[in-house]
Amino acid sequence: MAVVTLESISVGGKAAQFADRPGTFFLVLRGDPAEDAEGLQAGDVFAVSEGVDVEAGDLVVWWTGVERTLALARVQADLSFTGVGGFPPPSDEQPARVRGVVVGRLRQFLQEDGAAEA
Amino acid sequence: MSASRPRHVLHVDLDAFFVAVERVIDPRLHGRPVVVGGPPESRGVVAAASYEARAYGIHSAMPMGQALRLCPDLVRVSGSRGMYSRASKAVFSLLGEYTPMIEKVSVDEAYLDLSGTEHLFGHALDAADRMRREVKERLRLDLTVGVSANRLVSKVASAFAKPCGLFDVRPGQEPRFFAPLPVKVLPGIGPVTATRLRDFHIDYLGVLAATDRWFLEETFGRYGPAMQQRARGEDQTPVSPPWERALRKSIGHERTFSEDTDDPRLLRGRLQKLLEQACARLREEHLLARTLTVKLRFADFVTVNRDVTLAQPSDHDLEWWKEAEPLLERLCARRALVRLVGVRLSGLQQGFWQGSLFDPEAAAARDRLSVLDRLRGRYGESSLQSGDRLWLRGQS
Repeated sequence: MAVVTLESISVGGKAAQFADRPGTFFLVLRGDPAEDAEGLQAGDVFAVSEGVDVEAGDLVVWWTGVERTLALARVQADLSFTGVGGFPPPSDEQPARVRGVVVGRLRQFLQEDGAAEA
Repeated sequence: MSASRPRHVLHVDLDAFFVAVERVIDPRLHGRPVVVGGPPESRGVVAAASYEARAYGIHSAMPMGQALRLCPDLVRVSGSRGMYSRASKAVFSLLGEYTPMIEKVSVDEAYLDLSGTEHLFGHALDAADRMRREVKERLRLDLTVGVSANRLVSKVASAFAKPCGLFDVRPGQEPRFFAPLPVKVLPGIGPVTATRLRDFHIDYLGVLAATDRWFLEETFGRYGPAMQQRARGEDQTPVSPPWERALRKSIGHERTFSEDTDDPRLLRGRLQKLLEQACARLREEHLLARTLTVKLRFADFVTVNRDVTLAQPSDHDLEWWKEAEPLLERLCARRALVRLVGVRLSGLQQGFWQGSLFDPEAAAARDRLSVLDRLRGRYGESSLQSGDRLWLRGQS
């Protein structure tokens, strides 16, 4: 199974303005995400808005209950949750405790020296 | 397009475009603070700055002298409009392989509508990623892309992805994306409106989106509710490819002299050159103009315009020059030093030049202009110049 994690990250440039207010934050995807319809890639940065109001089709961040571990899930039409990108789906043992909704995804292609990757 | 069909609109922006093109030509410029613009002794201004230069506080439209004082190691290159135009065409021709629905808003910026192309290219984010890689691999230029369901949100998203990134706002999340952002982020809200909003403690788009509509209407008139709609990330403006766009109103060029002058030869030469450039743009866009305006700004900043209208619209340099020359003479009657000279061609319409059967010389001259346009398009604007104005090259 793919090993993936979400970590807090601060983002520079204009995008930083999104997380300047309480209730919004960025998470970065680490590891080796599984291929699926979401097309997640390692290094993808998610802009998250805190809240528990979710709708079918939303990509949500949920707290697994294990220390500070966060995971991604997609909200289905019947408002159940499925795991995405190799994140485990919520279960009876680990019910989805929603932290927020993913509003956007940022990918940047700068190398260590600031030059752009191909 | 049906209202329910999901839209996928991209805003693409070439990072520090002029500088990036210069770096393709001269890779030694990589990693150095670089600006494109005229020399300080000719009252040059910064037309584009690399990110390294921006770190010194240098920005577009800054006087070159000031930029050089801020960063003594600054590398200045004069730039070439023709070269940037060719690079821009190459980029947009590559992007045109993804969709014909491209609205170019400047030499380095455009909107693309990818709605309905999912079966061909996959999710819009993946298509955007492929575009970025292709532009990088084939042209060695960096593209930043904002992806969302409309132009407004994609424009803000691309600004957030700079430099060299992609930002995809998920459909339906536009209000949540905008809510924490300062009001000044919204295109259309300038410093004056932002200050007025702040006076009412409306600092963030989320607050603007939730403000009572009647209050905004009373305070900002019709603009208030429209502004609120945009603060919620709503925008129905379509992406308009060239064939759907309203005709542009005018084409103009102007030039500030490095030193104020009343030299009639210099004024005539410069005006003729500007007119050539404007007519070449008419021909490039298959337009004809009916009215010519010549503008002079004198050393005391008094600006005077004179115009003339032709019976038959034209894109022919020589036909327009016959009209421009007497206008210049009339303007120069003020007998003051001139700071700036400009031309504007207006009353535009789509069409092709039609010569008189009784004036074969004009038709032959027009044919020569088409050949010149093709050569200049291929080898650069300065590749071929009129012999009687070669001396202008040393003048600024």
